[in-house]
Amino acid sequence: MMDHKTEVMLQALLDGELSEAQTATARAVIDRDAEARALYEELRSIKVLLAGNEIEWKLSEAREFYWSGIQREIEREERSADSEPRPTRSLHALLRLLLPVGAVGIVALSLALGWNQLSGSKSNLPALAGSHDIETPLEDAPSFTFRSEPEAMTVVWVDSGPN
Amino acid sequence: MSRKLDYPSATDVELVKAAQRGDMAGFEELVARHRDKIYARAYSMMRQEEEASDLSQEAWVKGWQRLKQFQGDSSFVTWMTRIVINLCLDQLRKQKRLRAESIEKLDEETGGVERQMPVVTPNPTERLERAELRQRIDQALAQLSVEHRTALILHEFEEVEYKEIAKRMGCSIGTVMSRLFYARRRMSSLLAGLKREEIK
Repeated sequence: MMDHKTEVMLQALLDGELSEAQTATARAVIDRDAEARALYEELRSIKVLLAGNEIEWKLSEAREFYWSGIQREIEREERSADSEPRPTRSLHALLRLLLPVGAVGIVALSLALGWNQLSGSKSNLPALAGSHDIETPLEDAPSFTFRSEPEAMTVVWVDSGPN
Repeated sequence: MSRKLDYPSATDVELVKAAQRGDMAGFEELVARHRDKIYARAYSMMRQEEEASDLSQEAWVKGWQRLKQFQGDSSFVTWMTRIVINLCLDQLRKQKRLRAESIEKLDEETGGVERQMPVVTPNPTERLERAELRQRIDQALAQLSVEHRTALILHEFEEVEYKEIAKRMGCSIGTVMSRLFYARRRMSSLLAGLKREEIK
């Protein structure tokens, strides 16, 4: 009985999957061994039999019905892809949130700078300094600065606290 | 202004180009032309009508989504067939109908019943009409294991080489050769049996 290695070698010969040297070896086996010849012939016959003889199955569904299923799925997937959050959208959402906070910070900063200027020129404006009780919001107040180079923008956020 | 495409008379290449520009009517025409072939391949692998229909529709959806990647290196229908085959292989793996190589290795090496079979030479073409012959071949294919049938379909009907079959089925070339060998021997035996019944 032939070993499996020889069997698959004969098949590979039939399928054109052997190198030149392997082809010569396989042909030599076929020439000298009747069993190998018979097996090769069996494999060749089934290959010939199958060629072009596959059943051509047809869909039973109507064209419109079949297509509508495909179209629905394409549209559903496109909708779902559109609704997925994208990184750029997240960034825009963050900026939308930060802008009002930034605006408040800028107002606070302006007030603080204004007060410092007023304090610095107190002696020149005695009437003003004496007639108003102005608080300094920056003193002891926690704050942080956000600088965005691409936006060329600085936002100072000041937390004045509940009091 | 570009002229309007006459879909029924347009070539596949023209329809693919239109579809790549987002023309869904062009894609619909391609589906209408090739839907039977794509379904037939899914059916031959899955052997279940509804599942084959669903997988073929899924293949068309994937085809639309990946259409921009289609460069025309093969025909459009060959490209679509590759998509449906991959979907079927994935589905068979999910259902564990396509066994892992390690589990199958023993069967492949011992060869089961086919290993002991005497050599036969079927030649039913002399007596059978083509439609009947196709019917009988299909009945024989249905009796093969999923692994053997898949290897045979990919090699005989899709003309895929051993190396590529191994890649797609996730096994070694040696296993592909064994699967193919025993598939052919079993087909030979099944078709020879049918012939003997007919003679009686």
